[in-house]
Amino acid sequence: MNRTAGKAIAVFLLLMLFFTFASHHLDALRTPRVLCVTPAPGVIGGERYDAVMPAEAVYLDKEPYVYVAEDTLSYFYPVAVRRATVRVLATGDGLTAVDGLYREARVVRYADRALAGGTIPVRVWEEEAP
Amino acid sequence: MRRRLTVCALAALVFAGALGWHTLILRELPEGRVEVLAPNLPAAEGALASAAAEWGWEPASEEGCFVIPSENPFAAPAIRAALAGAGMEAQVLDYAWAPAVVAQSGTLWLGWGAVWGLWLVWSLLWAQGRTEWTRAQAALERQYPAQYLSDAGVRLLAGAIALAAWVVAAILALQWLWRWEPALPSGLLPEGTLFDPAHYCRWAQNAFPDGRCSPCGTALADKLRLGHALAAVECGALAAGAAALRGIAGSNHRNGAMTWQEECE
Repeated sequence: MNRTAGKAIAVFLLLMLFFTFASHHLDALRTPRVLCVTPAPGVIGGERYDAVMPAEAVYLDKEPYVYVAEDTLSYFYPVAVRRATVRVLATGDGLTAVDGLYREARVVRYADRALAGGTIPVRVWEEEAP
Repeated sequence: MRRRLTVCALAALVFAGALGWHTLILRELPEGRVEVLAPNLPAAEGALASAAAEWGWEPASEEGCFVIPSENPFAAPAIRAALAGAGMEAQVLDYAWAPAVVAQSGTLWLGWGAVWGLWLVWSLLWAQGRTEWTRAQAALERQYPAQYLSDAGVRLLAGAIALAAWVVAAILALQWLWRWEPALPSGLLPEGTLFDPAHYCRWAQNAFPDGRCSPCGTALADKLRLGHALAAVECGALAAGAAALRGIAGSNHRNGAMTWQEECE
């Protein structure tokens, strides 16, 4: 009886270990990976703007918004993206000039999974953006 | 005992055969690429010109599609954005993940083997520990502890060293498994439940569309199937071999314990 109980406990602990590993990896795989850009001064249609970024980084719902990547205090999710409303000043040549972002903001250009919600944990792609 | 030895030998043979075949098919990895299927290929090429210049791609035309060699996971989103920006309808097949996923199929047995190896050594240590415990209980009925430790000291020390080595190996293996990042094809993991066969069918149909798949895509699908089937055979052979080895070692231990008990009597 004791031996059976011991075996059952061991099997239970092993299964718990396995599911912990599996859920950790599954969570990591389901966390969207994003490629970020930093808005820079640029020219659109002959006009100079302070914050110009690729047009695909700006989404449109009722009003235009972007996803800004920010560091968090979480150990498991060190970076999260936050939805930030912006004002579009000009568009052209695949670029968009916006207002409403702070300097050096990291704006999500592409994500490998759909971003949905106000604040989403992400992994930032470390390679250099083009 | 003989049956277990046969199972063990068979498992080793199957494992070696599968590993050899797997190594052979992995000598040539498929290239990472993104294929664009559009009704008007020259227009698609024009729409992608600026993105190609920005990302440093060297696109090429193949029969019925436009190919961009890249292993970057954001190549396909960039192409979709460029095509959408130009107002073009096109089907984008993302195979940028192909080399990583195919190569990974050849290393899956390592993690699986590490787990089974740890289990095998642990069960041997456990059996040895139980035998030692029985011996110690019997010996302490007729000996002082100091005498028992003097007699069994070398054996106990060897067991302790083996246990310490196992603990270090287990920590390293768990750390490696924890840090291991599996490579998966883009879009394969569903947003909701994992147990949705319809999602996987949809993904397979989107990734390798019937009748529209290029020769490269078809070859990749075949290689993925064969690579993962071989990985499953390797893992199965490892598990069967480890279980048979455990059985052999267990029966050896039982025989040893019985001999020792008879000697005592």
